[in-house]
Amino acid sequence: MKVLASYNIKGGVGKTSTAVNLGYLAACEGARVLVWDLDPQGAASFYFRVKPKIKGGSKRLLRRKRQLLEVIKGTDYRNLDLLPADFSNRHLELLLDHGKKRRRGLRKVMKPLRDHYDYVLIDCAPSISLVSENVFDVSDALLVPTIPTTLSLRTLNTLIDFRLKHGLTDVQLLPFFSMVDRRKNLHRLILERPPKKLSFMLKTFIPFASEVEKMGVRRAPLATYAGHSHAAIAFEQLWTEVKSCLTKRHNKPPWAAKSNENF
Amino acid sequence: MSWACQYSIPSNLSVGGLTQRLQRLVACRIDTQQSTKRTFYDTYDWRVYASGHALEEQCMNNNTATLHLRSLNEPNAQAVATTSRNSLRFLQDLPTGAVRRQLASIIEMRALLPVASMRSRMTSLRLLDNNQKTVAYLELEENHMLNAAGHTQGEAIRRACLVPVRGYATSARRLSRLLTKDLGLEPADADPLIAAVAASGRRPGDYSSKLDLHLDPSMRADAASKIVLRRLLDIMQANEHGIRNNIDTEFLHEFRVAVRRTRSALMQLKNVFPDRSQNRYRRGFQWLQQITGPARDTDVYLLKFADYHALVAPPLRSGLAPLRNFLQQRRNIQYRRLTSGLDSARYNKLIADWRAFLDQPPPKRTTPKNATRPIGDVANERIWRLYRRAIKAGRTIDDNSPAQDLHELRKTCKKLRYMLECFHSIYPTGEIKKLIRALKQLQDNLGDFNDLQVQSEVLQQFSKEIYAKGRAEPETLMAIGNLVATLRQQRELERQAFYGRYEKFARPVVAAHFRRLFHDAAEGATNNQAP
Ligand SMILES: Nc1ncnc2c1ncn2[C@@H]1O[C@H](COP(=O)(O)OP(=O)(O)OP(=O)(O)O)[C@@H](O)[C@H]1O
Ligand SMILES: [Mg+2]
Repeated sequence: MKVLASYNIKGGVGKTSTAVNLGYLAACEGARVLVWDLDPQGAASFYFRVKPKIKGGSKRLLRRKRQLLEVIKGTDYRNLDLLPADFSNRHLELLLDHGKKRRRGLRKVMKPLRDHYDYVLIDCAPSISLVSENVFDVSDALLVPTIPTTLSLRTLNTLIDFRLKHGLTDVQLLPFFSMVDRRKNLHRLILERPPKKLSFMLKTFIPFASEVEKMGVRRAPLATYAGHSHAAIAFEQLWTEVKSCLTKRHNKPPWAAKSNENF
Repeated sequence: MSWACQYSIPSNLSVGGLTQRLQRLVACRIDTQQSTKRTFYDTYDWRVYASGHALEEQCMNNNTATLHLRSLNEPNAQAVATTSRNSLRFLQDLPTGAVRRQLASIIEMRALLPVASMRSRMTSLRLLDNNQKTVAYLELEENHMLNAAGHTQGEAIRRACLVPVRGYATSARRLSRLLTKDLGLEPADADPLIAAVAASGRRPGDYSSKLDLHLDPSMRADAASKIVLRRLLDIMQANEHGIRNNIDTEFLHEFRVAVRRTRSALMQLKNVFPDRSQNRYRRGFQWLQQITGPARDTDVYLLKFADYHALVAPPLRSGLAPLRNFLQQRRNIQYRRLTSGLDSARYNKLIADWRAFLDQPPPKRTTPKNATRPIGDVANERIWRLYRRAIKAGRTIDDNSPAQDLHELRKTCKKLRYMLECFHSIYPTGEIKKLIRALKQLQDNLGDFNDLQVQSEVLQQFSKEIYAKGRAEPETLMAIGNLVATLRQQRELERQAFYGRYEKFARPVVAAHFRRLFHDAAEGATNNQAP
């Protein structure tokens, strides 16, 4: 099971669009996918038309009175499930905030998912908090949508420093440009000459497109209603690039890898 | 689950009518309407069905196909894969994913064969909540069974299948209540597979290689033996076409197991049949086993090839490719030879005469001294004797014993196993199973030891042959050499494991069990006879 978090300290940069669309694409390929809406605003739940209330709230969830698996909802798409946001999510912060292993609470909670999903995509709220530190701990990679502006690049730098300072280097950082508007000079400039420090930025970028905005009206992944649009194709390319980054990192020689399939 | 998933639609209600009435009661939308050909697949010995599953291919008109593996008890627990049409045969032909993963341990090396099919009109409905979110699916199907000739047969069978969405159990329950209470649907439990197979003139599980006979211990030994032997002959003949058509390797394997069991019974059941017949058929089946041997051997090497590949050091692996080609060619030759053996007059006469012999009712008066004794007594004697022989031979084995001794012990154990399997039904249910389990552990060890011994020798021989034909690159000879060395190491490990396995088989509880079933009972019988 690979855990990918769509994350940025800044708000309104395309985190939710990324989690929802990549989750959908992965499920279309036959992978078993869970989108975890970890943002109290519940945008991902809204896109999948799922009511965001978890019975009993996330408080009971973390105390393991309820199994995570019991509150998962099937979406309208095969292989794609959703763990809905819960407005009582503020409890999450409080609950994680005790004990020595405060950064590892989420890891424990997610254990039962292991046998059920190939990918978990976490849609995060915009902030740096204890919840996000837990997300860094459980994730294999952070997908960081970044708008090509000076301010956004500074925020990205903050994240890079934070990751190093807290020794969270197990998680791979995968930033990419999002909501790119080629009519804007600054966007063009940054895209053509990204700062040297950001050489590991993904090659794919997501263009600014009205089809993506329409997700809020359609309440469905982009590919289900505008599969041939530039933006939909960009998300497909992004998914391909993300997958290749995931395998590159762990490429042991094939004969050293343990295989579960006997053929 | 407290509610049913499968329903039959009453004959006075059309699928269209049902949809309309449903739409008046709840928010639902027609998702798709399609005509499909649905074909059920299984192995020759019904492994998919026996594991509690149905495997179905649905071909749409636009030439796409999906493969569904579902549990017979819980039809909603199903895995789906997309395939190209009519490409199903072996596990390797399936796309990787859940279907293949689950089927791997079910069908193993067996080929999938179509067992039944039907034409269906399928309507898929979505039940929606006030956010237009799908909270349950309802699949309505109108199935026309096809017979073996591909013509529709009987009336259409109409069914509804409720597929819940995770996390929306309440909605599914509500829909279920609606279907049964308001619309008059009846819960149906049998999978459409059953009706489809019946229409094609078959029955799930109609072939099995198990000796599921019911013998009475007081039966005459010759009559009881003939029943067992006739069943073995049926198994041989049932597997013949699969060998000729080269469907998969199990046909020949099961054929040979039946031949070996037949030979073993003929050897062990002394003085049951007249000497002349006994000797003639003993020779006949010995010949049959010989002519089927080389083809089976190449099958085994090819089946093991993936294991071999993994055993060779990675840099040398590519060198194994010529070995595989060599085995493949050899297999083709051996199967051709085998088929001509099965076409020969000698084979056909052997089988026809044997059948005639088995069909003759046992004569009232006959000379062989065991012929008219109860089969229970005769079997007891033989099994007890074989058991004691195995125990004695095992005790003398030490680190200096030649491989031949282990080989002899392996043969004794095999004979014991066949006798237990052939006559298990004359003993209380379940008793023999326990003994076979104890014996099997030892047999596996002896079998592996022997196989590794033979394989390392034969592979070396192959390597020489490949070299002689001038087709060997140094890499190939090195790869085979490396493989042989690994097999020898494994063989030594098996040899070391022997002592533990033997101890377990020879332990007092098992001994007491053998004694009680086969010895004490026999004593009792003789005592009763001579008061
Ligand atoms: N590529 C794009 N082109 C145009 N509009 C976009 C694009 N990506 C996202 N949007 C729109 O921008 C808004 C914010 O996007 P999104 O919700 O994905 O970002 P976010 O980072 O998750 O926001 P938040 O921080 O509020 O959770 C949404 O209205 C969305 O429709
Ligand atoms: Mg968001």
